[in-house]
Amino acid sequence: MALLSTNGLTAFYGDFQALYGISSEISEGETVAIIGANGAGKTTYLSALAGLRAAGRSMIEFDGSQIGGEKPARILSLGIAMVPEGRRLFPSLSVEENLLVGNYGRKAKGPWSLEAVYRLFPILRERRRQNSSSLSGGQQQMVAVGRALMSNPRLLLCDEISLGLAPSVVKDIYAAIASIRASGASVIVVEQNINQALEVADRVYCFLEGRVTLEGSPVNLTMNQIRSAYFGG
Amino acid sequence: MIDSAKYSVENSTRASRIALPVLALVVVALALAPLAAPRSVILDLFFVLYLIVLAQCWNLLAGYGGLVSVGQQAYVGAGAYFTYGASILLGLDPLAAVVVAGIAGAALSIPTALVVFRLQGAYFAIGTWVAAEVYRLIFAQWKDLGGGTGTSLPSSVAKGMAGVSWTKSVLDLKTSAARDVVSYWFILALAVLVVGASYWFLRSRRGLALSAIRDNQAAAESVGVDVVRSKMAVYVFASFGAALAGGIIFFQKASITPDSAFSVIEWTAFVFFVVVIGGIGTLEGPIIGAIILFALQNWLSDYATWYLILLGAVASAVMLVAPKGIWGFVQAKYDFSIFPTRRRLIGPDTPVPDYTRPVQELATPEPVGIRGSDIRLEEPMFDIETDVLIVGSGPAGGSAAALLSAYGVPNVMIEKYSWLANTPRAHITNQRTMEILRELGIEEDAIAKSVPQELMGNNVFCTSLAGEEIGRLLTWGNHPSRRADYDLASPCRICDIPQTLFEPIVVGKAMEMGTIARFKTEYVSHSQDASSVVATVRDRVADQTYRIRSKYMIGADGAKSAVAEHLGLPMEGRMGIEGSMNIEFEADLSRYVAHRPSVLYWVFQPGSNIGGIGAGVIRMVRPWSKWLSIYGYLVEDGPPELTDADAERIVRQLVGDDEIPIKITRKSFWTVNNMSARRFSKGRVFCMGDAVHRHPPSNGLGSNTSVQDAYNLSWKLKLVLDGKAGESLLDTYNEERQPIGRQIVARANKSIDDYRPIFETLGLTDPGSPEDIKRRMEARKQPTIEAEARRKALNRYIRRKSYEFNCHGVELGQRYASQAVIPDGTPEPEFARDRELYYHPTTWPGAHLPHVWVEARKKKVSTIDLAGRGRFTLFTGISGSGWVEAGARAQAEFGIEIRVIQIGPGCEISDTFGDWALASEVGDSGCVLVRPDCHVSWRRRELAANPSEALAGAMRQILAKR
Amino acid sequence: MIWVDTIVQGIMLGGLYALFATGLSLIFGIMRLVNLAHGDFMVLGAFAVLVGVESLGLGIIASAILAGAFMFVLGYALQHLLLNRTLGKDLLPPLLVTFGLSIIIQNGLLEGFSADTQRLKAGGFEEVSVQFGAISVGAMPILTFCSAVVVILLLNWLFYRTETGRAFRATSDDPVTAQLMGIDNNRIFSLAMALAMVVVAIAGLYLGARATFDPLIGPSRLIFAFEAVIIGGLGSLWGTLAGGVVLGLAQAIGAQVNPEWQTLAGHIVFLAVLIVKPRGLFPRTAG
Repeated sequence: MALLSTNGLTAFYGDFQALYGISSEISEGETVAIIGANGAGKTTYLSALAGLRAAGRSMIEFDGSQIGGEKPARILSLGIAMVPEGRRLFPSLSVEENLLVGNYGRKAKGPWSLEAVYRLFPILRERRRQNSSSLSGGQQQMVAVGRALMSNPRLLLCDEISLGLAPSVVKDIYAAIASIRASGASVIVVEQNINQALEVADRVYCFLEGRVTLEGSPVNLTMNQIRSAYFGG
Repeated sequence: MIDSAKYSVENSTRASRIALPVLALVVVALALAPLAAPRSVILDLFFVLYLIVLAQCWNLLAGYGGLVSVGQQAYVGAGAYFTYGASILLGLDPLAAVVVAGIAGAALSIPTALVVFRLQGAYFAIGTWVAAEVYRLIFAQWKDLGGGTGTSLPSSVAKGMAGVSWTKSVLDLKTSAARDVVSYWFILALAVLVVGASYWFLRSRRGLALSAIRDNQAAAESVGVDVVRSKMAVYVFASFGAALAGGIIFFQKASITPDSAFSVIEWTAFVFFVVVIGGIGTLEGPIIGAIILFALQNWLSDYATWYLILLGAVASAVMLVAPKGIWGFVQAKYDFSIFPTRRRLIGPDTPVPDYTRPVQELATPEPVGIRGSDIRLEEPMFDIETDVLIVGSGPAGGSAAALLSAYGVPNVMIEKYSWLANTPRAHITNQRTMEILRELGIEEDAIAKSVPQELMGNNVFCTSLAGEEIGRLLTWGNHPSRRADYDLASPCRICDIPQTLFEPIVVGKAMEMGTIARFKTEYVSHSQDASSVVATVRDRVADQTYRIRSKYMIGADGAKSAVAEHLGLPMEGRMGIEGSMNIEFEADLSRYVAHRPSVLYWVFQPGSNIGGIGAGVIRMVRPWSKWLSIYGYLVEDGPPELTDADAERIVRQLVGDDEIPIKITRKSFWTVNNMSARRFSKGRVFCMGDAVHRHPPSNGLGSNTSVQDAYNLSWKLKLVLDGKAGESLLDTYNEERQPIGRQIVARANKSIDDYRPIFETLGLTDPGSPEDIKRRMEARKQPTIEAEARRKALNRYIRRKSYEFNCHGVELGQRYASQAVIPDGTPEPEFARDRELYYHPTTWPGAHLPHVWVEARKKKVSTIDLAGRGRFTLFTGISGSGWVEAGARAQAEFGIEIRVIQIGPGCEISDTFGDWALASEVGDSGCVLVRPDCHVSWRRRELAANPSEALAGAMRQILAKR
Repeated sequence: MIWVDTIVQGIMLGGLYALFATGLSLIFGIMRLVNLAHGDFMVLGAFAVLVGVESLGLGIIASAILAGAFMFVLGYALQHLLLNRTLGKDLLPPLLVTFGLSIIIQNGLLEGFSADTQRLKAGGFEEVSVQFGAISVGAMPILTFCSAVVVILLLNWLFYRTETGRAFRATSDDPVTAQLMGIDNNRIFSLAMALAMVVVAIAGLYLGARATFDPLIGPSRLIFAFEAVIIGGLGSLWGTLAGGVVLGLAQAIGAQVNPEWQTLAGHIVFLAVLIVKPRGLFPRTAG
């Protein structure tokens, strides 16, 4: 049974429709990548899952209950955590405080703790007292991922976590995603970088202008299929 | 192209046309009220009126100026105290004292503003309150007026007043009642003044700018000084109003204490509630709010505290439920407005703001002698008289001079500087402009100095001239698929002539044909009456001013037009959106451009998207040795200090070559503007060119549009001056050209925005080290899908630049709708292709006469060569012989030249290629009437039953002869 | 010597203003709400203590605790039901609604308690003074100042040492992302207002115990509170204390020169600080 599924999920910005009935699902322990060109609706999709955008109640189902349109706080408490695009750390909080605030709304038993996050990203332990704005982009991204892990989510949403980072740093971040998978959580990554997405994901959805144009396992997909799903036509 | 329905301009709403006279009646009735109404009613009305005054002032501040003040009690109190001081201590008549107090209050607001304007938002609110407290404490130290315990107005002061004793005798009242009546009249006058002045101000250019600022804070931040000045003006005005109101309120009350005069509840909280309940940001709201507050107060007069509690609750509820207040709700629901200030429409002859006029100017030419003290009576009345005075000798003014001289209209052209354009500025010279030069007989001269179309079009997008080429767009009709469009559209060809070379050709021709040009002569001011315009100008060589009297005046004095400013032409949009610098230099760049000759090379580098016109530019001035770099700066920072070394560094960065010899010859700064006038003319003064449409060089439309402005107006002036046409023909200049001006301003600014996605796709806008940026630029070369998406996007965005560089429809496809164009009942023809990119020739009235080649005595001539030249032209076929006689009769009747041209086998003109038969869109017996500016003004598909009458009717309308 | 005395009095007065200002600083810092009813809330707090003492016959400490609880609940409810709806980019709604609240509270108190001047009696404690060499300082001002320090210490502990405090700071930084941490903004804001109102009740206690009060004095006390907050800048609560002390000193020195200049001197120093350092003496640095 799917951990999370969307059924005909739609989203609007005023008159502009950003999502046209997205149906998708992710199973326990699975990693799913969402790919697509700019403006395909990927970030909107994640925002709806996290409760930052309005959605019909039945459009999103998590662990057997309908959660569409719930407040973000409630969604987090159920076990869906998000690493937002652009990291969005709290500038007046130290690194450690940023991590600690991550489990404010959900205190669940699980593999992740402050100690576990420091083991995953040892550099953060050294920087724990520093102000988060003094970190490099890659380190900030580590804090953002660690912050989301602190709530021991059952499902982790990652929005463009490789954006603007040097290739070596991207590698480190994705190595961490692998350990997160190993800990049993499900992960949805939204990625611009298709190779990265194909490498990490069990299954891929390709979005084009608010619709799903392709779904499947990377091993079964050809580059041509992806190309036509990505560009349409 | 003009669609009259779309552009029709209204200056009032239906409600306003009904409501304003009603309002006037109400004011008259209120003024007469003391004759009949008992004293208690007068006092109630006094209360409502002073609330209106205070609320309107506060509404201006907070609702329009975004200045949420909690300290207007400062000026009420100061006004009150100054009134008492001036009347008790100085013995001034109390009404005069109130006026003095108003001025003193306004004066006090200026230093206060210098302090509180440093604060923003909540800090501003609190700062104003503290300032008011400071004034309260200071005035409480005024021992002569009772210090902290206050004082009362001795009854002798009121008794001695001229106004009071007059009122007493006329209305047969006691002193105290008479004082109330006088106060009431004063506050009524003040209410009318404040509402009227607010109305006028909000419809003025400054006021509209203020509303725009309120609606868009981001815009406000980039506009700079003018905003501060506007806000300052509002603050001083609101304080003036509050001080006047305070003075009269406490004159009526006859006693004062610092606490009552500076009460935050009474003079700010109530006013705040009145405005919010009535509707903030509307002129009607405060009036309605004041009436509601009065009603509430009356209803709950026995329960003072409960009334206040209810008031607080109602105001809070309104703010949360209907933040636009009662009037906002009404407006939203019924689209109803008594004082239409928010529509961006032409106002009914808005008065010229006085502050723009130099004081030495004469009010009107005629009544000079009435001023007994005017010593200039001795001097000759006017030093020069002419038919048309042209201010400015740029593309607009120069063309107007040349065309008027060609038509035989006496004209004088003045130019502030000693010679014509000294920097290359405009250069793209489109086919319409070339057609006009052709008509003036200077096409060949222009071609001789031009760079031809073939060398214009390898528009390059690169990381530097020596660096990587990102893409190339064949422009200005050089793509084979577009070349035909350009060739088919006109007998002339687009070319590139720097303004430095263009202007002497045009102005030289004008002077050769009779234009009197006066250089180093600056326009100072003007005034106009029913028959003439008198301009005061200054000879900057002799430093003497003299006057030029003309029948009409043309303001072609550029983007900083003083004529447009003095005329009070309403403007929309903003000046100074981006900063830009021109760096002229000499260098032999042929090794970089020989394989891709062009006028423009666009450079995409980190930073070259900042300010400016979208990207860094290297522009060819003379092939391939003289160049001009355009580079942006942040307009907020002002023009940077730029040494020759700095300039050379910028140029080298754009060229990408550290070795090549470069000589910097000139540097200048300018700004990207996005502004057009909502009217191009007023009375006998017409503005054209950059004076009324101010926009960046993108699309190369500036000087071309200026020349066409001149072409549109000149023949109309000629016919009106000759008495052949009614004066209202001149109104069509504004109707026809204003929409074009607005269109091109929007188009040129849009073209700048279209560079942004290119920078974004290249990854140049995200932050990062030079290596990061290089990595992102390289990203598009990978064999991945994302990279492919980037390549596709880049290709698409570069192609989109055709809207800047192949915008043939915008260049040639202008269509007019006005009294001087008579629709033939057919709908506007469909646009088969993109109307901005492609020119769609048609003879549909309002459109430009289509060009086709025909033959005359074995010589190929264009239809456009047959038309124009100051006369009307009527095209018809062999079956249209009836039109020949009609033309002759009309010529006799109207006294103007109407040339009838029959095209067909055996005629003087033959349609050898058969193109005219198609292009004319009328039958062989039909006709197409073309105005002197080559626009079709009328057509008939078939011969009319009575051709003479049909043509005469059309001419009568076009010439506004009724 | 007289000047040393003046300065000590000024610093002690600054303690009172810091107490006035702390609640205001708290809510402006966390939710950018400008509360024009803050002064009236303090007066309301003082009346609440008065009711405890005079109508319920409780001791002043017990009354103050009860008043604190009452204000906590009132603050939570007001924020939850009303003030959360005013928050946003536009400055007008919070200004107008709190202005409305100010008038409602003033007139409600007038209706309930008349315009008579009141005073909280502290059982003779207000008469006690402590001798420091040649200078004598009232015990009540010292207590006030110490209370201000203790309140700030407690609030700082709350902010920097507890989970709720982290949530306050996170919400203040970025309310949207805070929601992703499971922080319910409305709840956090309501809690912040409730806490601020407890501080307001303490401020009300000293307001009533150190001088007389009536239902209409709120606005003038609000101005002092604002001045202290803005002089201090929004960097920290210690800045607010410093702001209060600067204001207190200015007033004390002004009064020493001419008793009528006390308030005026404070205002002028405030305006001077604004001109020289518009963001206050200790502005927020990061973020």
